[in-house]
Amino acid sequence: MLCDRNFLDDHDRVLVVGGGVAGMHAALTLAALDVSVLLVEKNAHLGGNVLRLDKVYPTDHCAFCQTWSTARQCYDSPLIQVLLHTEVLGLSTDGEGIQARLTMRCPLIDPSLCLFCGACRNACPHGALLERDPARTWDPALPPVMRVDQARCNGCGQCAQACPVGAINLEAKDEELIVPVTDVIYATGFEEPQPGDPRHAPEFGTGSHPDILTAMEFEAWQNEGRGLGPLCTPSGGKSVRKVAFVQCAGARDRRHLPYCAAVCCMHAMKQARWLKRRQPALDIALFYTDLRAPGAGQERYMRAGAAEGLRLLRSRPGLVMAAEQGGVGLRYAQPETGRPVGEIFDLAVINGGLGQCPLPSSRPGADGTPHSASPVGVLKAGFCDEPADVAGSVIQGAARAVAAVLRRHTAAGGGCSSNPQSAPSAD
Amino acid sequence: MKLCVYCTCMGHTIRTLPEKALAAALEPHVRLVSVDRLCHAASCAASLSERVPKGQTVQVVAAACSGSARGGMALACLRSALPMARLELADIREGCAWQANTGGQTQPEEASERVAQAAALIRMAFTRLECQEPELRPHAPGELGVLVVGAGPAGLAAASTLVGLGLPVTLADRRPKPGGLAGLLGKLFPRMEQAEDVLASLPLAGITLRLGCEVISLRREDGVYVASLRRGKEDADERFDALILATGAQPVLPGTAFGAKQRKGIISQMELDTLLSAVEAGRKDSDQLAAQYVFVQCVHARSADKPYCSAICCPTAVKNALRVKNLRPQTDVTVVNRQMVMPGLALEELYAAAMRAGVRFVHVERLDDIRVQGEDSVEAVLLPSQEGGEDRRLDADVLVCSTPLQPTAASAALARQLGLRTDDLGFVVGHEPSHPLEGDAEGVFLCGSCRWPASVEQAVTQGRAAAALAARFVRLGRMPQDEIPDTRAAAHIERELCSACGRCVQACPHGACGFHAEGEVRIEAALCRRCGVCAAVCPCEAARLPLASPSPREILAAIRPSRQRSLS
Repeated sequence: MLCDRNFLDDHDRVLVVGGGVAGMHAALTLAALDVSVLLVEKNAHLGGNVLRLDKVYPTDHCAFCQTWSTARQCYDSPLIQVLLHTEVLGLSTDGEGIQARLTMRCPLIDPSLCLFCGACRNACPHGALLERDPARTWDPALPPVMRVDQARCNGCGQCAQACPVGAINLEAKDEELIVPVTDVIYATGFEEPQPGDPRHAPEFGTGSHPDILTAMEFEAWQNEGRGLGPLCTPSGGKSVRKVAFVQCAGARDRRHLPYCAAVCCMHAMKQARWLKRRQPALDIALFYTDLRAPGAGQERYMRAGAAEGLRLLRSRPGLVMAAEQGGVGLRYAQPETGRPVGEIFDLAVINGGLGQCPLPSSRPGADGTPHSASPVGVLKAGFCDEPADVAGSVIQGAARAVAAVLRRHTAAGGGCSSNPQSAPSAD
Repeated sequence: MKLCVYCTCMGHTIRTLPEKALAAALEPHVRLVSVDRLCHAASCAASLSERVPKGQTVQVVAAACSGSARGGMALACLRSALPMARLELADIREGCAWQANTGGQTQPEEASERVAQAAALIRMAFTRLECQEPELRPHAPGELGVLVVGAGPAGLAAASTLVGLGLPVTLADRRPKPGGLAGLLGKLFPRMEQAEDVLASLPLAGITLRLGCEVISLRREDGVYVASLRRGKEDADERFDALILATGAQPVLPGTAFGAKQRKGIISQMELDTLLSAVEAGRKDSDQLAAQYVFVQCVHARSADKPYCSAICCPTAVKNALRVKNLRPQTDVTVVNRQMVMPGLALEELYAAAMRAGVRFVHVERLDDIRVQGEDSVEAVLLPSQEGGEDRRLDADVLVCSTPLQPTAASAALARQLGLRTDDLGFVVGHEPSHPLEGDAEGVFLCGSCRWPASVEQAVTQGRAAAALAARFVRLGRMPQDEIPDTRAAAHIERELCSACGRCVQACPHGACGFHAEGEVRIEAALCRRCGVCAAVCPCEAARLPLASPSPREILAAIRPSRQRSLS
């Protein structure tokens, strides 16, 4: 079931944009305070970027387990209507409430029904059904889903007939909806630049060689779900002996993102320690600008990493590129002497440049609906407000939700309670 | 009162189980109410709100689909419509109505058999409710309200938010004035607002204030929290539904760092802040500021005995450096640091602003290598150069030590009384990272610097979030994680078998087993997580988990009508 159309009957609701950790916690908090929520997520599932992580710091617990239980609560809550495959085009206000323009991309194959049995692929005469989404390299945590390659599909419909569960609807069209809401909480999170994106400065070489990985690519590459055998380079299957982590690539850089994304130091430390635990003989170097570990238990986590034999180098490499003799070459100033040196690694992980997702109203090419700069009742939570890790996003999501509830109370005349049992004065 | 809410599942069950026939098959004192869709909150609440008398204890059985279908959601909807009722689920869809899959006409005798079966399932559910220990909570949720311990920015934000949500709130602090550490500050990073403006934006209206009042002890009794409050020499116990710990932290003093005892001119950031606030307010002249300031970061922090980064000292130093530069641009300010911890957008901007204003930042590897020159007062700070060259000399009139926040012994002691964990430093440990404001005790929420050093802005955000969690807990009477309702009750003790040996009391990891009056062991239903440890350690088989299969009483309830018929 993609969407329950009855949700349109209810006008008095808050729109939460983004189904990551911050958005889910905002939605759950609102629901617990008896407010209906419309939770809009552009991907096929709730969970956001955290679902792409193998582990979360500082506990090194499984990211999926924790996030998915929160997602289940959202799916199961009677007051939360989850709209997947949906994006917000823009907001307009008429003084009273907010009209949100949404677009729903109906997938040709409903992922909640697909069994991945392959019957559609066998039925298709054009080989248009793919087993794997080439853009999704990180889905070991979620069940696999078949997918239609629209370049090859001619719409003959044989796959839809072959599907035993009726998951395929080739006539599915995108839909636009206009939904009235009282408040909006943006929790759109962050996006990592794609390899080769100029937001990772070109000198860091992402996308130029398979052994130069972005942090999120690396997270998928080292995922425990792929097995725990010896580590081999993505390029040629050579065994890995030396790994470099490069921090602040494109961040704290006036040309790209001027700010610190706050989560990358601990994220890289987590990845490096995990590698070291898998293969204690690995030589791991971590290049940093400032090693920032301000949260609960984080300094201790860093110290444990240093004690495990990670090389911590206060230096920002000026060049990362494929070396002629094989491997990945890094050129950096030695922290002790300041002299530039070159060093060859088997693998380089480029960390940084996590950008805040642009909000719909400021996105170029969005529809021209007028939208005042900050209409009443529009709030931001999580990374899209201020770079935050999982714990920070949980806190911010709940705090913004309660702010929205209080605003609604004041707008409704003030002083009324969300909980009739607890306020005898409400009667 | 016994109420059976019958979900007709948009007509999917009512064909097989007509409402009238079902009502007739149930005992006459059971009221039957039908709802189109019990798993849809709005329709459920609309149908039920008027039909249920207020202020009565109600036993409600949801006659709906199986718990693995949407039965759980049906219970969640009922819980939000009838927060005070005790609920049970009877699966009459998969378990009864859909078994009559005849495809066409239903035979009259088969139809009446189905109705009898559904009635038996509903009766069994009522019996399960009766088997459960009555809830220990003798009052309506939210009646007692929430106690917020600590009136710093986190506590104030939590309390004022709870007032906005309509809950009774008590705010206790041992100091006579609210504001906590923030009350001592002038401007706040990163937005450079006045601390008093921020505190004033958290109104005290509607809060029951207990200022100048020390919280001596906190404990859990009969499903509620009891706090012993001491004002002057008088002790008084008060009862609450939930607690918010916002007990804050205290700054480490520079002490003997850099010979501060013998030399003048070595102060802490707090002292500098007080001076800067006085100059900004016009109470002192800007000439009172020194000509050359050297700030040293991480004094008594990130060391062997305090192996943590307190996170607020770097932004505080940058803030104060900027304030000095604004008040007296000709003053030299140098910040000696191991690294500047300025994560995020706003702090990075502040850092850049300080650099633009001419504040110098000097990196050193180790603090131990820093030496201070001057006999009675500070004259210069010497930094070791790399590669064994000459030491780098920074002339200084005043050396400002940036020290971390450390937890207070009192807050750690309160946390331990409640069964919360504290780390070896004394910070209260939450469930990082997915539930950072919740600790190991149910109904206790953490915010502010008692869990980890927080800026005023972070403390306010955490206070609001903790208030939301507390409001949620008070409503539901349990932790948010358990929101998917469990249709089964807590473990219980068979009184006739119990020898009161106390093994379960020692073994229970959630503190649910305890001795009550007359040496009787009882299990607190609100705390029980149904883990089964009590049953495992009990030598008398008195501690029991609710049975997964129907108990003899449930089975008897199901067959009661036929038994009566055969007897008569």
